[in-house]
Amino acid sequence: MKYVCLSLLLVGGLLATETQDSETNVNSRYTVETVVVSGDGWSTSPAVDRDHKISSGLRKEIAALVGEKLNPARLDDLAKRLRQELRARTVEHHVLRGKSPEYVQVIFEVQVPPTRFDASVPKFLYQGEQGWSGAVEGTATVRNNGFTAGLVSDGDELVERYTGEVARYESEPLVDGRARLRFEFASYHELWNRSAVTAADASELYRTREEFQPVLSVQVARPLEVSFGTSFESLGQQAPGAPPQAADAFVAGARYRQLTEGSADQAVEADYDLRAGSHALGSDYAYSRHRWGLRYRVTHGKHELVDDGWGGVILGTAPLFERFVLGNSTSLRGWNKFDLDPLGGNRVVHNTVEYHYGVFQVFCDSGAIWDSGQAAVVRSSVGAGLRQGVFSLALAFPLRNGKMDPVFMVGMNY
Amino acid sequence: MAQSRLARMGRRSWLAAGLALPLLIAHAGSLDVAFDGDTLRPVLPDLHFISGRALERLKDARTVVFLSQITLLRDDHVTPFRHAPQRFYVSYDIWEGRFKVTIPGATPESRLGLTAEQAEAWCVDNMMVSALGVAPDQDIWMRFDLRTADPKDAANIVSESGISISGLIEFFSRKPDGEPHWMMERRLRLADLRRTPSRRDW
Repeated sequence: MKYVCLSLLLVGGLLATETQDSETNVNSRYTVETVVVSGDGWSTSPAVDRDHKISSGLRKEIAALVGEKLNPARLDDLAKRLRQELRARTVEHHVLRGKSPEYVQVIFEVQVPPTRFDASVPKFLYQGEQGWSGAVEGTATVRNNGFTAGLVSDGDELVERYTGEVARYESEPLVDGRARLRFEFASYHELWNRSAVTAADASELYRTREEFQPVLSVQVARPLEVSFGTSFESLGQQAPGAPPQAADAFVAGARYRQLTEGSADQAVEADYDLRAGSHALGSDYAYSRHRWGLRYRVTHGKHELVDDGWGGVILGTAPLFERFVLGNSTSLRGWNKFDLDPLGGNRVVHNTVEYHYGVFQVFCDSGAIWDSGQAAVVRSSVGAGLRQGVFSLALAFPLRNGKMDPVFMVGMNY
Repeated sequence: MAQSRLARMGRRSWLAAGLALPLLIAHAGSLDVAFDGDTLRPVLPDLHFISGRALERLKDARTVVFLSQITLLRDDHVTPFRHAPQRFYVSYDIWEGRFKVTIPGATPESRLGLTAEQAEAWCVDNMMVSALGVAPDQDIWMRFDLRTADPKDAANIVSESGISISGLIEFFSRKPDGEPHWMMERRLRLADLRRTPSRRDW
């Protein structure tokens, strides 16, 4: 019996290496008319749509099937890659008669497992000035509903180092996949840098921060998404016995993303975020925080050029976690955020120009952070390093008169 | 004599026989044999292997590979002495609703525009084993195997670098996935077979 099986397999091996599917499959004379990728409640035509579920490279390869002769072996390969990329249980391809004779339609049918578990590291970073920052999360997806729990310790993003737990629920796509509901809960303990403690009024510093944030995101049109919700923050005070302060706010945002594909791929992304603390929500802080961003990316072969500009304004008195920061792993790299403004600023403007060639990167950051009524001082830094996917290693040099103190950064997803 | 034969079978043969038994039960059918003086051919008018999952895959415009093997055995069904493997690439024209069968090789042979029955018949017609050198009065057994194979499975096992042990282990440790496997066997003596015209004479 085993000899029979082995013989049959060996014969199969020989045939697989010696014969092309296009020679033996009678349908290889037909031309592909359309290609559709459809999943659990969604579908996209990669030749027409720019669905972000599928990476640009794979989407282009699928779109390139249209107008070509049918190659079933190629469909197998693309189905396998779709399965890996979408982490699907199965991806089957079906071929149907096209609308015109001699043409065929290709459908990739994606089946996502009803339940799956993913562990991820959303951020991991060592920065010479701020030390380690990191986050680890586990996400259980049950019928497209995501339940996430994680731990975080981040001394990079804000004025404070916040350490604690996060939990998040993201609903399955609603309203034909156009809307999504998200609830996020976080509980942090705060650590303050000595220079921040010196600069701040004691009542401004808090010992703990708890956050609950329900947000609804709606895709208005394919490239435009808006979101709105509320953010309830409870700030435990440093002074023993002092009641916690509330920093509750309405939150809203808009995101626009447009991709243009050709010999050089171009992407334009714009976003706006608003957080408005209001006494109407029972907040002890009344303020509005506006942040705008505009990002342009052009890719040609191994070359990639990115320009990322953003700015922000805070009106009123906002808690410290809302204040803007420059001089971390993403802005004015090489500068120390506590040297620039130990409590952050309520005005900010920043621009980054990055050039990547393969894994090599060079960048130039410029920006200013200040408080209303003060003069803005523009600062710059330059740096170079390596970037491969989410991993990055860089050495950044702040440009200032008479001193050259490079800062080393290594990590992922920052 | 019988005792020595039993001893020669060994544990692996018993195990193989044990594994084969369910298949024999599941797919047993009458195996008629045609003999033209040179070759033995199975005669299987009731075997319809273009069906089930294979047919579903064909209707999704895939190529389905059928692997066949005819084995002649002697010594009371113990010693295989001749193998005749063959492979058939079958595809289904989704516009014409007809099948194409290709036998690959240095000079591939193809048939287009066949019905399922015609495609099956053409495949079976191309399964044969030489009977040259077999004594007319010798008791022999003829075993017929037919199964589908995914070309990717075979490619994972046999490549330019040789046979992949991990590929073999993966293939054999895979749970049965409902792939059909036809296996039939019969005892015969050439002297007892009625001579049919040679295929060359057709």
